[in-house]
Amino acid sequence: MPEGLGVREVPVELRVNGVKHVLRVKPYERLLDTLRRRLGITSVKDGCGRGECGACLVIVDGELVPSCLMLTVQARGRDVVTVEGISSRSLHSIQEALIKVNAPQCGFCIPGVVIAAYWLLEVKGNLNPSDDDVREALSTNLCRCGSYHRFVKAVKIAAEELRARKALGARD
Amino acid sequence: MLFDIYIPRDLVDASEFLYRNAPDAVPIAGGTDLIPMIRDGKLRPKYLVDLSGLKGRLSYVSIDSGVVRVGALTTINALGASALTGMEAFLGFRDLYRTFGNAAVRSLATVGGNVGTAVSAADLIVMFNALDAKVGLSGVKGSRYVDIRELVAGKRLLAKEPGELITEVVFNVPPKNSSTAFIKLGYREGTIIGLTSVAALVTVRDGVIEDVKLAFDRVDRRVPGRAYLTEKGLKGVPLRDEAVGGVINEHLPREMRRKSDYRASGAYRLHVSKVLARRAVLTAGRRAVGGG
Repeated sequence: MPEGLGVREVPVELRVNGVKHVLRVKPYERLLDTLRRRLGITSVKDGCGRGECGACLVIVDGELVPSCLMLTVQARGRDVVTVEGISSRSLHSIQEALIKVNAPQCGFCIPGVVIAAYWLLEVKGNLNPSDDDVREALSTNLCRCGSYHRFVKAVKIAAEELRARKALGARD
Repeated sequence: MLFDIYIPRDLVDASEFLYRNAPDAVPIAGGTDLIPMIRDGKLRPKYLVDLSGLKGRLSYVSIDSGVVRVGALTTINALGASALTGMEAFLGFRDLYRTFGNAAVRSLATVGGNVGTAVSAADLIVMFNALDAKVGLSGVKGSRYVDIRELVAGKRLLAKEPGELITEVVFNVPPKNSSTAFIKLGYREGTIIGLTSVAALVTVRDGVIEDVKLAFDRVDRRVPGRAYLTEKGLKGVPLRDEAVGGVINEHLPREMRRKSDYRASGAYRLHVSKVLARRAVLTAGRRAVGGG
């Protein structure tokens, strides 16, 4: 029998935050559900379920992806990064900056915002983003508390911090 | 949302599976349209055929001997980052990229997937109409190329055989002194279904429109199409605001049938179509003569 067909569970191997997982998942299971329910990664939020709100954003092989639209089967063999993976020991500069400008209010959208900002600054490597660059990178993220301007401010503060740290590292 | 998934070995295997299980099997690429459709209960496939493993073969943008080929599994992000959007003649793709979905949707959504939706809101179908694009199909009986207008036969309706998959989109690099523009109007800039969208390809000679292709999200069908009457009227017209606007205002209402729905009235859509068409033609025309 061909791979996948007729098998109610599909074997999938994927890396999440650097850790390899070997799982058997339902064909219709979304990456979002695998992360939250099987792996206990709850920074990833179940928002609109159709790629419009950005609460479930993760990074898959360097791409910004709504985990509600990707089936876990489609993430096979790929590398997934969530907020847990970028701030396991201490808060990331982006998180520090968001706190500094009092951006988080209800907080539901924040993990997605952190991931989108991380994608812009650390994955795409744009450490000197314009306001438009930030708005573009965060164009997926809806925030019902309306902290949009603070997000832009925070991402620029984080970028400055990361730039300074990089310059310091270069001098060492 | 209940379905089984099939992971094909290659394109032929995918086609054969789809052919054997038609109409119960549906191909999935980025899933940005399909997953919401399934969640809404508008589509209840028994099997999804996951094309993500074929990305290595079907993700490319090649420009060779005046012909552009875009692989069906090229994501919108990859298209936006390709050499195509840097070419003067194809600045319309840069316009399109900026208002397509949002940053995350663009990393999943694919060129073939957008064409495959066969809806008026599929921005690439509008753009490909203006470029007279052909779509490559591959199925159990071999491969062929069809005109995009022939393939997108109606709302959510593709004129293709069971088992046939979209493999690429092909179009010519337009002649010298030509360029493109794409404009979409919606209630906000991202993550929207546009109220009206327009794509124009304009060739200019001595300040006069030599040739023009004008495509809309809808003209007289429920899928994207071309405004041929207006195109004819625009040929030979000087590339000036009043002249272009005058021709569009005269001809477009004669060939465009706009429907009202909860997003906007038909009358408003027609008005906006006229305004956006004028802007798109002038923008493409200015770009054609190197005026950004």
